[in-house]
Parts: sequence; C-alpha cells; structure tokens
Amino acid sequence: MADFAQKPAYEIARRLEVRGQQSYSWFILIAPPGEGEAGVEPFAEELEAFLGREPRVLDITGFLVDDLRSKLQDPPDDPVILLGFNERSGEFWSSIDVNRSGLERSGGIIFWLSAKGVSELCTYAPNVRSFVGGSIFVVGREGSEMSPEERRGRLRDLAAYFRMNDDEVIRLAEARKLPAEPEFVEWLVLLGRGDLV
Amino acid sequence: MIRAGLVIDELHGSLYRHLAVRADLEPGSQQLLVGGIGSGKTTELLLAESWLRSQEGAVSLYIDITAETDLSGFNEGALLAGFGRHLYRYVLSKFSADAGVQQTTVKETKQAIQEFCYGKTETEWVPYPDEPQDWEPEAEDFSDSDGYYRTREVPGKLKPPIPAIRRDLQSIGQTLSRLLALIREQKSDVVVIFDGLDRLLVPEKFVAAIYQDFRVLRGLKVSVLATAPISILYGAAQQISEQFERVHHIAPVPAAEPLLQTVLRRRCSDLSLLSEANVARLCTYSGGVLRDLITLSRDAGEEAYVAGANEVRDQDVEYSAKQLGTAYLRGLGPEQIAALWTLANTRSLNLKLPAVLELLVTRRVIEYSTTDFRVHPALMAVLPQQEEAKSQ
Repeated sequence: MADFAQKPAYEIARRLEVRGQQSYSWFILIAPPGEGEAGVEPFAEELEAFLGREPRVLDITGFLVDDLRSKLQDPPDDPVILLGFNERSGEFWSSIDVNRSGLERSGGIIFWLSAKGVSELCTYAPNVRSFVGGSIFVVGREGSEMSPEERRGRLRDLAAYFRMNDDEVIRLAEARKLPAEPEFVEWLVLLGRGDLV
Repeated sequence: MIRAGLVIDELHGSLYRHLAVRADLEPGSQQLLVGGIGSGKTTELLLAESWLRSQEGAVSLYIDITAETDLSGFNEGALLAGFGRHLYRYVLSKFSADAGVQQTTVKETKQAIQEFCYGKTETEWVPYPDEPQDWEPEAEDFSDSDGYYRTREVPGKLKPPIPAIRRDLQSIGQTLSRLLALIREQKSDVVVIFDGLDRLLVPEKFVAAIYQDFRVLRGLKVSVLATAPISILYGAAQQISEQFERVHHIAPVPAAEPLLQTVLRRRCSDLSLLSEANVARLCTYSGGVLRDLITLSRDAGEEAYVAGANEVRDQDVEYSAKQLGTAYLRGLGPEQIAALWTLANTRSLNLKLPAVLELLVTRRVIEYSTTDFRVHPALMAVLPQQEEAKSQ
C-alpha cells in the first residue's frame, strides 16, 4: 500500500522555512520507526536552525480541545510541535475537526504522530486532513533519503551555484561568517557538519 | 485574498450574488450552502458578505462560529450567543458617538448578552420542605424560617466545554430585538452569515446545533446564510433541506473546465514555472476540489524548489498527487476500498450505507451532480487492488 514520503528533518524544516513564518501552515510528521517522540528534539533543533526561532514543543496529553486552542493562540505566531496524540480517542479527533478554525494561527503547527495516529486523524478529522493536504512526511534520519551519489550530486550543485567549495563553507561557518541562506544550512548538514549551523 | 484579487468571483456562476440578493430582499429568509470539504464555501460566503457591505440598507455579520465556540457537543444557543456578540459590537461601533436612547439601549443589552455568552451567578430562594427539619441550617442560610438563599453558576453559551443544558432562548431574543430596532431605525436589515457549521458532518448534530437558534433568528427577521454538511442532501436527512428557503449545492468545478486552470494561474506569481501540461495534470488530480488544487500545486512547487529545479517537473506533480492520494487512502478499511472500486468500475454508489456516505462526506468520493459520483483522482492513483487491501 502507498506510503507517505520519507524526508530528512532538514528538508522538512526547509519546507516550513520556504512557506514563511506566518504561513498558517500545518504539517503532520510521522515518527521514525522505533523512535516515537524521542525524535522530536533533534527535529526541533533542525527547525530552529532554519527558522531562526525556537519552536515550542507542546505535549497535549490530557488537554481538552479548549485547552489546546488557548495554548496555540498564546502566542499565535511561533512554530509549535504538538505531541501526545497517540492515546486520544476518535471522539477527540472529531472535536479537533469541528473546531479547526479555532486552532488556526499564523505560526506553523506540526502534529507529531505515530502511524496509527495518522490513520485516526484521517478517519475522524477530514477537515484537518484537508487543511494539511499532502504535507505529511515520515521523518527520516539525517540525509537518509539521499543515496551517497545523490548527496554528492547535491553538493556539486551547491558548489557550482555559489562558486565555493566544501572547505570554504566549513571555514566560513567556523568563523561565523557564513551567509544566512538556507542552502548553506543544507550544505553543512550534507557535509555532516550540522554542529556548525 | 479577495482584496488582493487572488479569487475568481464567478467560479460558481454568480452564486454569492444569488445568496446575498435573496438574503437582502427577504428579511428572515434562511439559506444553506452545501458542499464537500474544500469546495470553496467560505470564499462564496465572504464574497456574499463583501457584496452585502457594498449595499445601502444591509448590515452583514460574518461569523465563523467554530472559531468562537466548541460545537462538538450539543449546545443550543451558541449561534444566538455568537450573533449577539457580533451584533452588539456592530451597534456599539455605530452608535458610540450618539447619546440618549441608543446609548441607553446599548448599555442595557450589554450585560444580558455577556451573561448569555459567558455565564452568570444567580441567587435563588430554596424553600424548606414541609416536613420537620432534621439538619442544621447551611452557612448561606439567612435564618429565614421558610427556606434559604443559595447561589448557582449558570454557564454561558460560548464557554467551552459546553454543557448540555436547555434554556428559554426567547429572553435573549428580546435583548437582540432591541439592538436590531436601532439598526432598523437606520433603514437597514441584518444578514448573519454562519460559517463552519458544515464541520458538523452528521446531519443529526447539525440539526441539534441550529434548530432552536434558527427559529429565534427567523422570528427576529434576521436573514441567515449558513454552511451545512453535504450529508443533508442524501438519504433520510434530505427532509432537513425542506426547512430552508433555499439550499445551494456547490459542486466541484470539472477538471476540464478552463476556469479551473485560471484559478491556478491567478495564484501562481511566475507562470513560467508551470507548463501547460502540468497545469492540466494538477487540475485533473485535484478532481476540481479547489483546496486540493491549491495544495497540490504548492506541494509540487515546494518539491521542485527543495530539489533545486528551476521549474515544476513531471515528477514533482506526481509526487504531490501521491502525497495527497495517500492521505485520502489512510484510514480506509477493505470494505470502503471495495466500495470505491465498485464506484470506479460501475459508476454506482450505495449512499444508504453509512460507510459509503462517509466516503462522500470525507471527500474520497466527489459529487459532480446528484447522479455523477467519482473516486477522487489522487486517491484513485494510489488505490490498492482489493486483494492487496485485504492483506494489509
């Protein structure tokens, strides 16, 4: 059966960055197999590197829909990663669905779900699913979707476009003089130097 | 987006104008706008509101009620509370500079509307039963020999979670009529536009939320435009439609319709990024569902961008269609997949079965007319064969 695309965290973060900080975007991310919610922290770090703003990680366990609405609207413009959906009932998802408008905000919302959680959402919350559209991804490990050849090809493209080589990029990053463009973040990640972001 | 010129206002004929004109000419009329998820209902309502605003003698209040209160439970009175709040705000802004009767009315109605929306504390007299007392009086007892006073909280209509209580809605109706009288003195009539009611996917929930409130609004001669779930068009729920002056069905725009491509071109800032062929393919995969067309195009563009491509490529369109189709596929059981294959092969759909009706309500099936149903094209592209579905 068809499955959602697996994308590395930096690429998902880049999509959020492309849409802009006030894009009203909603994403669904499916935890990497075996990682559950442990993968949230590295993803949040990746997101912060691209957006230049620390995302809020919000565990909604035990929340009523109204609690969720209040938390999301205070403040309404920061990126938020929502956790804690996996034990929620179909009735809860239906309530989220009915109240979708109350959850809308200018900052991005990322639902961090298990594969089962995504099925529940798609079953009980068709309005939420429609709002998310195709922005549903399985979070891959860093660069996991790219084969070594694809990675080399992308690095060649970046080097040709910016007329720089890998060493120069690392030197500039170490000297904190690297331009702010997201492509340089991607470049460092592809080089395995995400620590310099 | 309307103001930015990104919306094509004649996409569904002149539907918004039909809605608005009737609401304007027939005070107290009630019209429903019915359509599947993502069909553009909100856009039509906002266009109708915009048209009404341009007319002298019409006051239109657009309320996305699900953004203001939790409608997932049974909560009679929530629509009237939302209407009261918006009406009060309008009157306050309109008559704030005036003195005399208008100001007095505004002040007097404020408390009643606030209490109806957000609740209040009431003191009530509780008489002692006739039989002899065998307990000590409570702390709130004011030492009256026949009984005592106690306070109780009356929840408001807009304070979630909404409890299932019933109230006499006529009292708030009288308060609202005083505000409406101020507007009518200015030779204007009020049209209220309720968006978000289509989220109540099951007809029974929809009726429970609107029945009493719409009756009061009709009595107040306030015209109503409201969205409604597509399920009220089929089966036993069809009789719901008979209670309204008009039920407008907003069908998806056929994929081959040039107007659909115009939607995309209006939204795409750089037309050179998207070839004619890919515009056509995006329209086809969307099935004419407007929100899907927009998200498919956005996702294809995004995919091209992160891949470093200079334009949207064929594989980007295929990628975005697969992502959307997979989202539609997720959550379906073998029986529903079988029903979709039956529809694809025979063009027949048994909407009397709740599981099949759900396919329509959740947009896996698109209704082009009352007899023309088809599987959403993006879903069709990833729909597993029945044997494969059973083995999952």
